[in-house]
Order: sequence, then structure tokens, then C-alpha cells
Amino acid sequence: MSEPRLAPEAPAPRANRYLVIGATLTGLTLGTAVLGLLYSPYAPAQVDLLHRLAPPGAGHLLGTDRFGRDVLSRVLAGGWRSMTLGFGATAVGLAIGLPIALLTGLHRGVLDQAVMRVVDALLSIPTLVFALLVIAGLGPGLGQAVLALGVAAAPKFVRIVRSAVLDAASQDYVTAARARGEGALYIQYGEILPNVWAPVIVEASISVGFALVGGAALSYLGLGTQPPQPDWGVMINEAQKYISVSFWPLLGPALAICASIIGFNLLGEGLRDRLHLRRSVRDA
Amino acid sequence: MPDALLDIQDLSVSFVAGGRSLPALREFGLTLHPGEVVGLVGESGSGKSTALLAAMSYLPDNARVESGRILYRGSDLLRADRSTLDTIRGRRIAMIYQDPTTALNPAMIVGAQIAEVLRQHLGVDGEAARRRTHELLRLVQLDDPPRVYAAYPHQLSGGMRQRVMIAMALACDPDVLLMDEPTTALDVLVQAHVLSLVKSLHRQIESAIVFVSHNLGAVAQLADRIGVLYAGELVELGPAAQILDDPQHPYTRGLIAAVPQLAARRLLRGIPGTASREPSRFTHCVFADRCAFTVDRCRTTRPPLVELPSGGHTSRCHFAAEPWRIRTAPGETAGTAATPSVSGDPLLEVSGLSVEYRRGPAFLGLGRSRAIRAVRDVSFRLARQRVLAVVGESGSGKSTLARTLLRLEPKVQGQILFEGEDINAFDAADLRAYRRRAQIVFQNPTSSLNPRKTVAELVGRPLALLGVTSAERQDRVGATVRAVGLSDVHLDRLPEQLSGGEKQRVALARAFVTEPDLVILDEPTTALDVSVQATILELLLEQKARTGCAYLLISHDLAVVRQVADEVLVMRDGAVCEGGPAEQIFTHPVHPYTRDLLAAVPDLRRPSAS
Amino acid sequence: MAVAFVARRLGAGLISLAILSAIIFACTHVLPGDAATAILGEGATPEALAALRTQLGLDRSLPAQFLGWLGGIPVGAFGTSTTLNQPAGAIIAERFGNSLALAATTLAVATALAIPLGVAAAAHRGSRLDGSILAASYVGIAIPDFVVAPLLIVFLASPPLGFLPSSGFVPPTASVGGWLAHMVLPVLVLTSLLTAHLLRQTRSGMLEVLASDYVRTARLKGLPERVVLWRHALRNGLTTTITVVALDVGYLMGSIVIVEEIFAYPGLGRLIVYAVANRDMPLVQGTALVIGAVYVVANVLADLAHAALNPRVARP
Repeated sequence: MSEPRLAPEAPAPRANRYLVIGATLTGLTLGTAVLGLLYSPYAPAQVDLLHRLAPPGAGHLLGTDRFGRDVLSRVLAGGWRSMTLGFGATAVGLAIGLPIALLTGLHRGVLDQAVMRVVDALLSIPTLVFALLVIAGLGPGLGQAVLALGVAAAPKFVRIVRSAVLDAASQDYVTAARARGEGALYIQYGEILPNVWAPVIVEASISVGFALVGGAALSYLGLGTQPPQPDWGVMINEAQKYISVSFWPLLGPALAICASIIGFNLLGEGLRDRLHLRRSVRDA
Repeated sequence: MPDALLDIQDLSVSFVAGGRSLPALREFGLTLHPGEVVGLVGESGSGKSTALLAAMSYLPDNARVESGRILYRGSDLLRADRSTLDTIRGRRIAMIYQDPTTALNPAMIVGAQIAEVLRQHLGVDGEAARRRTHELLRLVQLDDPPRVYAAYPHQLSGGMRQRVMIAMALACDPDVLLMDEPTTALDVLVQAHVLSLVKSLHRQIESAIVFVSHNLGAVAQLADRIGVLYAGELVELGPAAQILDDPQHPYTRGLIAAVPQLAARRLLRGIPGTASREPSRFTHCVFADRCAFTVDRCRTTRPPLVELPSGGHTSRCHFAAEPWRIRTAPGETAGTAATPSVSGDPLLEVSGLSVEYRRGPAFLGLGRSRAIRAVRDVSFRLARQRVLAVVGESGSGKSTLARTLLRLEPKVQGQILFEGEDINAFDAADLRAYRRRAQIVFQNPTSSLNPRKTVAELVGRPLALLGVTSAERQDRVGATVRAVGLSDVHLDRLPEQLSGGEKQRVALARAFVTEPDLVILDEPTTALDVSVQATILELLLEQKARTGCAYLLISHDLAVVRQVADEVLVMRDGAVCEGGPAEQIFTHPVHPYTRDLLAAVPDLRRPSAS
Repeated sequence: MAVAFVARRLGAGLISLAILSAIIFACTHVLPGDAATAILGEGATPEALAALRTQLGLDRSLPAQFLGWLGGIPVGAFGTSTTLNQPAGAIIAERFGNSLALAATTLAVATALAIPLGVAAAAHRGSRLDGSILAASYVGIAIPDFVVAPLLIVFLASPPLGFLPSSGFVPPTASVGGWLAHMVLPVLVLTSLLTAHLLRQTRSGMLEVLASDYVRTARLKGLPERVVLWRHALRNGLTTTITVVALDVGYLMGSIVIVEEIFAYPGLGRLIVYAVANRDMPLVQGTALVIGAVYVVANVLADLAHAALNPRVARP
């Protein structure tokens, strides 16, 4: 028997747990990436043909891959690429989506209708497929993947930010601003944006996780980071063929990816509860 | 105690939020007898809804019952299990809710929702259930029961939905009917109809009724006894006539003094301050910090519930036994407030104003759309220092009218002359100047203040737009904030840290800071508690007297309008039905719609036996 | 009235498809990269390049090319694959059925699992059942398909157990058993992801319904919780689920790409990866369009179903 509206809303204890776990995991994975830029036990490209596909043991905490390269070092070294994909794609998506959402959410009209139709059409292409489309034109590579994933993420941001903008625009303080004669830019960025940050941050956090996985998927398919550069997605691809011999080369990058996506997801969920946001059914 | 039907004893309820325990109700006691109507009156935070839901033992997961019992036919409802409660709810104790739109299942026809109660509790099914449902629908004065039976909630009007809810509640002839603000969400005329329906039903059925409302007038129409709740404490309980004529608690006195009456203009006195939500407030008198008669004892000891000699009347006040002590406040005088303003030069002249909307399927701009005329050929004049009230129900066009005066509506026909100049012909510079001199205050202070801005930023922004320097802004903002009864400590606060009344004061400060000549007030006190409303009205009148500005007051509350308006315009469906000096409209209304509106206002005076 | 609504919704769908095709075309043509060079290589002579361009119709203006492509679609002509030298339409059609089999099976299994679990979790919010269901859904979402797949291959398709094939395809005409066997692993992987997704959305939708005023009314009418759930809550909760399932079709199509690639399953997903890697533009365009179209059709159907079930739209 619950009747939440009657009582003052209590931030449920599980929300704080999400936040804590999420923050820890994202901190760990970010830390891994940063560490990888500075140090790794072995050079990631260092080959050791005598100890191929070795299980964890002396000197190799996570074992070695089919060329005898240290899995841990490659996970560390590849971290920054995954983070670049995650954060880069999210940044691109926001940079495109936020201004569009602010503009169209406020000025309903023919332009808004047209833009929303285009956004809806874009949303019918699965993110990965859209990214593939862009790569088809640009060619494979890390930078291209960032751009592709970013453009693919933009429509989702437009839709989510726009819904927050519509909520804010229906409030009387926007009417009051119009009554005062405020200009359109001020209303968008001075009145509405400060109220829209919260859902944006939540979505951005979750998006980093998914972009990271999307990037790994592209690399897995050979269309992102090109081997032999260390990259979590590439590593999984390489590990797959020899999985019956040793699954350690798979485990390292797999753990890293899973930790990242769980972390960013929980971080977003925790933030959402903490910032008292109602979730819509459309986003899980 | 002769056959107590429902006996609530010493009920204390708290809510757990963020690790803290927030008490909502303390030692609430009420005994309900068959056939009687008890009205529970309280403002926001009084705990009245909690009390009602507790009576159904339907409290949220984070509620803790600290103490108390709710006895119904010998069993304690608070300790009953779900299957026992299922036999009582809907069958013996039934509830009617505030918002009939959300309280009905949108995907089920209304008749089925009533019939399932019959099936569940009385085993009545099929054709018999349908017939009985039709009877119930007729009982609540709904014509064409078969049509209503087969309708979905969205196909019925608000008033019809509430009648359906009442029918559903009465289906099994319950002993007790709990009504939670049953008329608050309805339009004024519909409210009156539903209230009179409840009155006539009460004569027919035998149920006892608990009627919860913040509207003292509505409660006065129905109640045999009235209980007054304040900040979780039942401060007074007694026969309705006694409570209304000679209240024995300072809060009740204050509440009654703050309720605007339709009968005449009089001194409206609000209760300064806000209801405390401090968890520790029950260690002393909860009303102490706002009471005019407080002495030391009030602040240190919790007053006992005193039984008054007249019998059946209790009051929780240290001075309940010495009523003369709380009758006259220092400095209280009777007399008329709001002296009629002197007539000034015409400030605003509106003629032939019409506003049209297009509404229809918006499929890329194609498809038929309907033209809706929100305002039809409205004309009026407003002079300086005068208050013109525009009254009407929802959909009357009054809000649209207000917006046209600030050029917020695109398709406007007709003339709006401000000091002789047509505002629709203004260029950018003239418009800027006009916007300094004409301001607007909205109904809902939570929605009209940007939650991310501090009070200082909110009040200062109109000045910043005019190019006022930062130093001068600071001075003027400070002065205006003080003028509306707030202090410098509020300047750095965010709206969420303020109470409803304080937020509305900030909205007023924002409007007054540019020293406007015309202020449009769109239902400025509707979202506020009655006691706070009076203080805001006082403030508005003060400001007008000081600066000589004019007000256009939009309201649906005729009693409020009675207290402050010089002229009244009655609107319906976008057109003016009647207009003229306030005194005339209130004492000698001509148009039948005006008469209906006036008759619909629930009066605090007890109804004569009719 | 209903006819007008359906017509409007179908019209909107067609417009979406048109915009979709424009976007796809734009992506593949406006971005740098010349198909002719990609095919003939860097060392090709300018004459050969020019000849190929004319043959492929690349010397026409962009809008002309677009309209040419668009015009062929209703008759199933998607141009000619530059790498396989066959009509793209035929290649796509062949693969389409295979992907459809995967998608339909996954959708059926996932829906059958996710909806009851989601409803149960919402109805017992905060309990251990709810907690474990939520945790399981997190795991399902967190582990990407290209991690789950190899794991399943190790356990189910390799010695010692090895009773399922790890890749490839057998057409149903050759052997139904083989056909099904090759679908099991891909469907398992896809289902794990989709179920997790759907579960969370169903749960969250049901929670909203259970917190609504009309559910409160139903409880306070003395209806037992079972009746409240089935008669009041589910009816409203399920209409939202339909919308959610339609949205997830898009998610599903995205996952299919990777899964088909991992299991070497000849469907649209594998096709588009091949086409992108080899810059076979006609194939890329055609496949992307078909994938997008599946989503658009699913959403139109969902909207119509939703409207039929929602009294506010069906009987205004």
C-alpha cells in the first residue's frame, strides 16, 4: 500500500547506494584510463612468443594474449581510447543536440515541427547502424568513430532535452520573462537552461556508458580503433578466436567494459534519484 | 458515549524522510456518531488529509503510527490486516476524493467502476448490478443513466465525474463517508451544485460524514460539528454554530477573521507568519509563534485539551477557560477596510477587444482547424488608484484578457489605450517603456519564480533590463523586499526555501520594483492559505495607497473581490455579461449569471433550515 | 474519425521513411570518399574512373541520384552492389528473412519473459524478489553482446558440451533442425539483452501506474490487491508496454548487427557490416533503409494498437 504523494518525498536509501557504487566504478575505470596513459607493467606492444595465452601468474596479472602480450598492460593502455569514445561522443551529441532542443522547445512552430520530424526519423535508425552509416562515408578510425557515435547520439539528446525544455517553458516564470520583454536568447540560456541541467547531466552520464560500449563494438567490428592498437573492443575480437584455449585475454577487456557501463549507468540513476527527477517510461 | 460509529483515539502519525521523523498529526481524537456531519478545517500542513487516510488505514510506506487507535465496530483499523480492511473499505467506510479526473480509471467505463463495488461487497452481478447502478446515478442527479453508465471518465464533465464518485461511494450504503476536499477541484458554480447535492443526500441517507476542506464556508454549510486542525494539532472541536459565532481558540478566531465574506467589505486580518513544521513544535503550543495573545507559558508548555462548560466543545489553549482573554487583540478595531479609492484619470481604456485562437489537428500545418474566440468584444476603463476585478469561471477568457494587456497574445483585435496611446502600435522603445509601467503577478508562485534564481536576482532582473546600475539595483531591491514584508535575510534564498506566502511576496516585489502604474494580478491569492491570503491583500492595498497604481484583478473568488474591488466585470465564454461599480454588482446584480455566481459562494453564516 | 486517424498515422510513417531515405543518402554521398576510387583503387586511370562513374550514375547531380535511387525502391530495385555485382535488392531480400526470424523469435521470448517479471517486480517493490530482478536486469544491460556471445560459445558450442553450432547457417529448406540449431545461440544472446531492457521499462511503467490515484481508489473500494493489479493496473500499464516494445525494436535491430557478425549469421546485420567495411554504397543504403523501415513500421503498428486500446483516442 503505497501512496507516495501524501508524504514528503524521501530519497530512498537505494539511491544513495547507486550513486556510491556508480561513482566508485566510474572512478575506477577513469583511473585505469589515466593510469594507462602514464604507466603499464609492460609495453602494450611487447611480444613474448614463449608465453602465449598464459593464465595469470608471475608477472602477468591477467595473463597474456595470443602474441604473448600482457593483457593488463593492454587494458591499461587502451583505456584512454574507450574514454575518448565515451566522453567524446557524448560531448559531440550534446553540442549538437542542446542548442537545437533549446531553440525548438521554446519556439513551437513550423521549424520545430520539421526538426522534430527529422529527429524522429533519425531515431528510427539504431545508434550502431547510424554510426556505421557515418563510418561508411568517413572511413574507419578512432576519431571517425567518435564523430559517428556523437552524431548518432544527438537525436536522443534532442528528444530528452526538449522534453525538459517543454516542461520548463510551460512554467509561469517563462511567461513572466516574456512579459518583461526578455530576448529569446536570454530566455533559452538564462531562464530555461539552468533548469534543464539536471536531466541533461543524468542522460549524459548514462550516455557516456553506452557510447563507450558502442565504440567498443565498432572497434570489435574493425571499424573503430585499428589493430594492433590496444583497445578494449579490438582485444575482445582478437581474444574470441582462442577462447577455448584461454579466456583470460577476453576477461580483461570484458571486465573493464562491464565495469564502465555499470558504473556510468548507476551514476546516472543515482544522480537522477538524488536530483529528484521523475523518470519517463521511455528511458530505462 | 451514545453509539460511537468511528472512534479515533489519540492518533499520532509521523513520516520518515531523509532519516528524520516528521510528525504530521499529534494526539488527534474524534468520535463520529451515526448521521452526523463533522467538518475538518485546516490549512496546508494541518494534517487533515493524513487524518482522513488514516481512518481508512491507508498510509504511505514511510508513515509511522506513533500511537492511537481507530475503532470501528470494536476492531482497531490500524492493526487490521488487508483482508479485514477489504471487507470494510468501500462497504462500510467509503471515500470521495479531491480530483475526480485522476481518481477514476481512464480505461474503464464509469458504470463498470461502480458495479464492481456492488459485485465485490454485495455479490450483486449482471443485470441487477446494472439496475442498481442506474438508481445510484439517478440519486446523484445525473440524467440519462444508461449513457453515463457506458461513458469513459474523459467523456464526462468535472462535475459529472464527481457525482459518479459520490455514487460509487454510496453504492453499499456505507456507515461512514469520508470526503477529502470534494469540491476544491471544481468550478464555482459546479461546486455549489455538488455541495447542495451532498446536503440533500445527507437528508436521505443515514451515513455519517467527515468533510475535510480548507474552505470554511463550504464546511459551514454542511457541518453539525467542526474540528479545526493546525500544524497537526486539533486545536478546537465543537458544535458548528458555536465555533463560527464564538470560537474559543485564537487560531480559529484568526481564521474566521481572515475569511473574506460576500456580505460586506470589512477589515480582513491575516495571521502573520507561517505554520511551523518543526518536529519539536509539540512541546509547546503549536500556534504560539503566530498568536496575538501569547505569554511565556504558551511557549514552554503544551496546552491541554480543555472541555468547555457549554458541553461538547473542546479547545487546546491555556486560556480556553478564560475566554475574555482571547477575544480582543491589542489594537484590534472593527470597521471597514479598503476605503473606496478616489477616482483618478483614466489609465487604461479598452474597446472592442477580441482574441482568437486556432485549434485543430496540427499535422504539418495541414488539416482543418477550429477558430476559438477566447475574448469577444470586451470594453472597459480603468482609472488610477482603482481596482477593477474581472470575475468568471475557467474558460471565461479572463486570463487571456490579462495577457493581451501585456502584448503576450499574438492575434488581437480592438484597441488598448494606455494613457491615450494604443499599445499594439508601440515600437520597441515605447514597448520597453510600457513594460516598465505595466507588470503582472501570476497565480502560482512556485511556477512564476525561476527555481534556480535567488530572491535578489528575481527582484532585480526587471531593473537590470532597464539598465539600472548594480549599486542602485541593490538599494531598490532591498527597499522593495522590505516593503513587501520580507527582510534582507531572504535576499540570498532560493524559492524552494520559502513558504507559499513568502514566494508570492517575492512575486509582488518583482512587480513593484519598477514602480508600475498598472499591475495585473492573475488570481494572486488563489494558491495560498486563507490566513496568508488576507495578509497579501492587505499588502496590495497598502501598496496601492502609497504609489497610486491601478490594479486589474483576475479572480474567480467573489468574496475576495468583494473586499478589494471598486469596479467589477463579469465574464463568461469570452464576453462580458455585466459590469459596473462593485457595490452595485454585489447588492443589485442584474444578469442571471452574476446572480448564480453570487448565490454559489458558500457563506460562513449558518444556513437557515431549508 | 478512426479512418482519418489511421490515414494520418500512415502518412506520418511514410514521411518518416522519406526523411529517413534522404538522411541515409546524405550520409553516404555527402561525406568524403568517392565510390569509384574505392572500387578501382588508388592506381586507377582517370579514364577508367570516369567511365565507372558514368556507369554508376555518379556523374549526375546529387538530387537526381537521390530521386533515381528513391524511385527504384518501391519496385525493389536498390541499385547494384559495387562489390558483388548483383542487384542489391536481391541480396537484401535474401538476408531479410533470416534477420526477421531472429528478431521475431527474440521479441516473442523477451516479451514473454520481461512483462511478467517486470509486473511482479513492481507489484513487490522493495522486496528481495524485486531486488534480484533489478540486479539481474542490470547485469543483462551491462554485459555487451560481444562479451556474452563468446562466453556462450565457450560453454555451449565448444568441447566438452558443444552441442550447438558456433556459427553459420542452414536454410530451413535444407534442414529445419539445423536451421533452428543455428539460431539458438544468437537468439539467446539477443534475448538476454532485450529482456533486461524491456524488464526495466515495464517495471517502471507499472510503478507509475501503481502510484496513481485510480489505483488508490480501487484499493479503497475494498478490492483485493489481486483484482487491483489485474483489472485496474495492468490494463493501463500494458498500453504503455506496447509503446515500449516498439521502441525496443530499434534497440534489437542494433544488437542484431553485432550478433550476426559474431555468429557469422547471414542476415541484414552482417550484410551492413560487410558493406560498410568495403564501402559498397548501394548495399549500405539499401540495408540501412530496410533496417530503419522495420522500426518505422513497428512504431506505426504500435501507435495504432495503442490508440485502439486507449479510450481517450478511440472514443473522444
